Amino acid sequence: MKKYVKNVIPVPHLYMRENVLEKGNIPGVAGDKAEWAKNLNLPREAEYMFFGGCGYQFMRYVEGMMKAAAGMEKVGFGREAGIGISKMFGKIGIDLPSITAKVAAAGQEDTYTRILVSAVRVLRKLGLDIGYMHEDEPCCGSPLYYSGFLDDYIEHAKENVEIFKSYGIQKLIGLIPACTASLRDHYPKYVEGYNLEVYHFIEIVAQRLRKADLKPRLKERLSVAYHDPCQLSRYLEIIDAPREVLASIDGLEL
Amino acid sequence: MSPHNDPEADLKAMETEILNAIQTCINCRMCVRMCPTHEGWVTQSAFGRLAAINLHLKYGLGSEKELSRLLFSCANCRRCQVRCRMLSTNATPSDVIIKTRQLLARKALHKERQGA
Repeated sequence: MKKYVKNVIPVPHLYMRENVLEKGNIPGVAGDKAEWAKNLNLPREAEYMFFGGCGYQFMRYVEGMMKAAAGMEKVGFGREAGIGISKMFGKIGIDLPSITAKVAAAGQEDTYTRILVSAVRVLRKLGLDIGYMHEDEPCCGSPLYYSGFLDDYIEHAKENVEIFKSYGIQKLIGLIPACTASLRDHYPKYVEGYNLEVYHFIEIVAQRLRKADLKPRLKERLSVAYHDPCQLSRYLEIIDAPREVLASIDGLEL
Repeated sequence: MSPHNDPEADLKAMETEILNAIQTCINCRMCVRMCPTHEGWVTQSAFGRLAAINLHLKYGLGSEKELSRLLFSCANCRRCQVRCRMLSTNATPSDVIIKTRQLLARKALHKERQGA
């Protein structure tokens, strides 16, 4: 029945669509997305709401899955088959991505969720009132937009705005550029009366650092190069803020 | 935009919008060599993709499957779009590519609804 759609949209994108619509995240994991925030005591109501996004919260599942898929490719299966098999396991009740994920990952040890924890710490240090929606945080739905399922995306966006409204959110801080671009630039086009203020993490940090009496310092001297990420520099057009933040760090050479 | 009373008119409007947006491309090919997906073929660049969309929608050249393969090989990094802005043209190749994906998906879903 899906033969026309399969003709024009690559199969992995179709799986992604199902995952976003049914499970509310890109890799389609049943796992707990709020696990990293357990020890942070983040309130559900605050001036600024932190939006974690799929990327960092679920990357540990994706990594395991990609390794499994790459392994299968070596044996002769295509990457599509890898995703398909993980889907098949899901149907009979086995959550393959959770099994392949790093087991000790949650919270501190794994590289991806640690970024979220650090981000919240930085924002708190800068004196911001930060909240988090925990397990109620929806997926922004941007994969639907980029894969071409515009109608699904619009519907998903409307549902999300209702969730945001029920939480009484005024200001959102996104960490992932794709989510932030979707929430800031695409939602107002499709949802009537959308009035959320959406910021990217680095914007807020740069803004607050200018005012605050803080001088970040590194223990050892470090020289770094900065590469403008696609979505951050060209979708959100935030180019100077990260450089400003880096330049303000004592002991860091850009 | 949302639930359509007349899907075919909607698709036609979307198509016209895409074709009009393609007309703003000045065919300078400055986006060809800089495209991160470029490996030698012109269709691995914004200019080539836009030309393919134009030829397909206007003259029916190539199948939808082939066009979709070209469209989904784009990374949507918007480097081409920034280059267009530097050259003071109004072209938005990255947005046009995403919009054409949406057009193809909508067309397919519409066909499926009709067939069912």
